[in-house]
Amino acid sequence: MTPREARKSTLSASESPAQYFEEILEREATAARPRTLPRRLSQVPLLLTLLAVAISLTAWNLIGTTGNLDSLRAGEEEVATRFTLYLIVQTLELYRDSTGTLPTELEVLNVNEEGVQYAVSGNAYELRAKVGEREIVYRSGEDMSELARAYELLSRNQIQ
Amino acid sequence: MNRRGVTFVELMIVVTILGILANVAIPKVQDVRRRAEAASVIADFHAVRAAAFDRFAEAETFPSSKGWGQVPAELMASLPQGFTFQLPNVTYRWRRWSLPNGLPRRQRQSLLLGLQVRTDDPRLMESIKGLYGGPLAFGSATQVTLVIE
Repeated sequence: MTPREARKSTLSASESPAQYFEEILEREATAARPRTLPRRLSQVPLLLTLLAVAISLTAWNLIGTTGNLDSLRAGEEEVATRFTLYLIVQTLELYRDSTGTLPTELEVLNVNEEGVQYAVSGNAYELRAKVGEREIVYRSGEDMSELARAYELLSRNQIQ
Repeated sequence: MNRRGVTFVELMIVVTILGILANVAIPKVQDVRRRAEAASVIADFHAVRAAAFDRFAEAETFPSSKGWGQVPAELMASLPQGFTFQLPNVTYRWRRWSLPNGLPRRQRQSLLLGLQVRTDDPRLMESIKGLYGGPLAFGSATQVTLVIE
């Protein structure tokens, strides 16, 4: 059956052309209704899911940028500071051996380090460094083995 | 006439997908850029190391410690032209520590040489430490001393 014959037979089955067009409009409306309604409805959950993913990713990226790095442990910084004090003490002792006095400030020897405070009183000195909540103090004449141990820890990379 | 256009929900879906793609791509781009910067710092470290040994071959001494961003005058001749210790994101400092007592288990080592690197980006610092293949690197989240050996 050709499309023209099909149209003729449909028309003949209807009582009038007006009824025929009414039927066509009704069929089109019925066909359109189930298609658009679920699609609109399914778009909203999709959008919500995508929004949740986007927000989670943004939060993850922000936390990753501003958060602490796992690899940089607090212990590593403390050991590094102890080793720095070990180096400063040796430079100070060398200066004292060669000049008989102590420098008034670490800048004189170019061994000034951020966060390290130096105080001199007569022939004695004190070094203080703060790492987080902890303060490391070294006074001239004290045993240097704890500071020296930092080197071994750093070179072995076995920081507890 | 076709009156069907793009709904607000559809537009939002496209915008959200673009947002997701940006969230995935931007950190990757930043990571690549950071690694390139870290590689440049390590290249500078090797240039300074080579210049220091050139200097030692000539004068049998290494330059003394300098302040942040100051290129030791003794190394100028052996460094590439325009070499600077003051970069936009990174600053260097030449260090020479005298060790009258040596290092633990290395009592005969009387000097410790290093290039101190300072940056405000802790992730760049991590990349620098990761690429440094030397004997010892120590410091904090924002500055590290790369030991020259």
